[in-house]
Amino acid sequence: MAKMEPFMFMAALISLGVSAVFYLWYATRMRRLARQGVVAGGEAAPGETLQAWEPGRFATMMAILGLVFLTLSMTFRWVATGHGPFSNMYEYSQAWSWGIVAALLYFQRRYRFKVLGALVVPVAVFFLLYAYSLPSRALPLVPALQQSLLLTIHVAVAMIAYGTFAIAFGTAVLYLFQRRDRVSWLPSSGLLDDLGYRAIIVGFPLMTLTIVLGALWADIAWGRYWGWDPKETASLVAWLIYGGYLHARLVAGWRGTRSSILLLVGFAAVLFTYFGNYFLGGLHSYA
Amino acid sequence: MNAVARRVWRFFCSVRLALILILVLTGLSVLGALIMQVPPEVKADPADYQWWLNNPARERFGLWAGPLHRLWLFDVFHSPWFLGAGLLLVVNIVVCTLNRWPSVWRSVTQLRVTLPPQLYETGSNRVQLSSPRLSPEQVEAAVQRVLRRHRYRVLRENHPEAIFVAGDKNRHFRLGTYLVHLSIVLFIAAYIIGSTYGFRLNALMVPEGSVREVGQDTGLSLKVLSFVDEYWPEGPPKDYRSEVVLYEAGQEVRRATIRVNHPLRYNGIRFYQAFYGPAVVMEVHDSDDRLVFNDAVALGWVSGKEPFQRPLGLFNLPGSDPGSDTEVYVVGPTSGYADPLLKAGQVRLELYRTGSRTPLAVKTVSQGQPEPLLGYTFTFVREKQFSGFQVSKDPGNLLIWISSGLFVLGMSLVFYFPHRQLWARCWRGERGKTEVVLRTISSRSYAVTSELEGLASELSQALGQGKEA
Ligand code: HEM
Repeated sequence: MAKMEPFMFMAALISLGVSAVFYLWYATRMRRLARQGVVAGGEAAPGETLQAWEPGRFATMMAILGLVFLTLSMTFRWVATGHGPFSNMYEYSQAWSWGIVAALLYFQRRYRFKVLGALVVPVAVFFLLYAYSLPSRALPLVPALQQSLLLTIHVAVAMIAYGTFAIAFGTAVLYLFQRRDRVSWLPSSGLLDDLGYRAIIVGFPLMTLTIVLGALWADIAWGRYWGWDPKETASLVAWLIYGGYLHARLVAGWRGTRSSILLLVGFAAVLFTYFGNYFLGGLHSYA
Repeated sequence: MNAVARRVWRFFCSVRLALILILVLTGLSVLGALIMQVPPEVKADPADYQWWLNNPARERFGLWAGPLHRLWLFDVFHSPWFLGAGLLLVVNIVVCTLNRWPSVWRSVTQLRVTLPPQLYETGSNRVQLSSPRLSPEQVEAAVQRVLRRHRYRVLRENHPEAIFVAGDKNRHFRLGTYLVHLSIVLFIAAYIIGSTYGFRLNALMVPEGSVREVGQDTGLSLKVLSFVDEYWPEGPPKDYRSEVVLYEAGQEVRRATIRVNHPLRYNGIRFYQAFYGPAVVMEVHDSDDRLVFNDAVALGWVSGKEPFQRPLGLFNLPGSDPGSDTEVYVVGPTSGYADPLLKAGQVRLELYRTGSRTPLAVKTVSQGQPEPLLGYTFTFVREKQFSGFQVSKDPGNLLIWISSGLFVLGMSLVFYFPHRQLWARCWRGERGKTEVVLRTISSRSYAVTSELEGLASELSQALGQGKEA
């Protein structure tokens, strides 16, 4: 079974790569059709936009297929190593990719608009390529990591939280193009703003839970739930930015453009936390 | 005076202030993540801190070390800036909560059935429908059905000119934001309780067979009977654990195995297996051949630079009068590299007068061979291992987990069960048609608008079906 994992990983990478290409194709078609005055508001009757609809449908199918392969790849690895994907960057990156694609498919279905995939699936592909560049060999767990249940939940929750943050990032980028509601082939700015908020209200509580579970783990392993180590601090920064985003929406004038910029900064902080091992020290650096 | 107080109050009410404070805390945290922070146990001792500033900090930051120190940037999270912003945030939360409480409580407990008349006539969150056949009472019934289907609670009032309906749902979950903010205050309180009334030792090193006092007025001491470390075939450590005995005021109170992730708990004090290393058993006789020291010394520090980092430990030989103690540093050979200075089975002894930095004597000794030095005779008896523990007492710990739980719970209530309110007015309009207006009051929110549109389209369908019937 362990032999199957690299094949599934490759299949996922290829499916998502193809999916990304088709999402981009879909987006450019939508744009062209909008120039010709055929579509408006991001959605139109399927008959009218058949030309764009086909690549969009194929992109979605490939994304679903990619998610299935990723799930299989992670499952095979789980069976082989005997623990969830929490022991190295290879495993986290695969998990994050999973979270991004799952969140995309959920929000795409819920809000019925696909252009988002053109921004978000490439991010998922990036994380898979990054995972591919890393040694995938699973080393046995050092004693502090022998907390399988807690750490599996910690990573599972983080995976979904980070996936929704990628969605919020995508909507924020689209919002900045659609600020004045001039782009006929994108959904209205109001919907994009709301979609970003929906993503955050899923992601923020889950991120909080991720931090709490991480703190619980540190408390069990070292007797301190918070040590201001750089990686912990970086995650606090990302958390504060998203908390700031939630409050900024309560203050008049902070919806839309300014809160979209906060979402971009927040995602940058999440990436910084994630890749922090490369330039920050601390307890997490051996993981 | 009153005016000043009111202004201060208003200042602390604003969400804008909250944003600024969150921004300040974020900025400081970024600095804290990027700039090397002084370890708390170094900061605790002024001499150690001075050494730290002159060595690691100076090496890394050169001339900037001084200004960075003066701005507290080596200890951002205990700086007046960080603590001050945190304190203001707590005041902000408390004042903001108290200030909003009456209006929030009113909106939770009371639902006004009628709005000011102009709100039914203008505004964006408003939908008007009409039905030529149905009476106002029938339309009202349809409105109620649609609202109930969406789990709204419905109130109504009959006025001569119209029937008024109001509905709301999830009103109690509105209080979730209070849970959220209360839990932040509790969390900060728990953190402060923990750091004020608790303590934390990062390195309690106990060689096998030895006893060490915990200190911190606990009256506890810990003896390690044996220490075991196991490795995976691939190399990384698999398990390490210590068999220990805990004494309180000299009496045995616990016997336990401490391993990673399985601390020993006693009276709110927790002992964690943290690290391990070499130890050497030393015997020292004085000039009258009396045994003045016989214990294992944990070589738990390191001296020197890569690749010749040598394990280092120390012990004290009490002098005849106060202030004349001798500190004995014991340096072991580098592991892994061939050490040009020390062979396996050798240690180097460096003797210092307490407080001085120039050695009184330096000597390399081999295992089992007594060596005279400064009137004493030192014997390196044999090698052992020591076990390193982190010891913590944190009376705020339980509150930390309670407040974290409340925080997540409160947020889930606010986000996933949003408070909604909706008003309707039905009346007989021109030419006998029944008119109905649906209205929400809310700042621009796509979610509220789309819920209103959804309800309106269901109502319009219901009215349409009524027409056919
Ligand atoms: C780090 C500290 C804080 C965190 C994590 C936090 C968290 C939250 C969350 C999760 C919400 C719900 C957001 C929503 O409904 O969209 C919220 C709402 C709110 N917060 Fe905070 N908050 C913090 C500090 C503050 C402070 C200092 C104030 C004081 C002005 C404040 C005022 C408010 C207000 C007025 C609301 C809206 C309440 C409502 O809609 O009923 N928050 N906060």
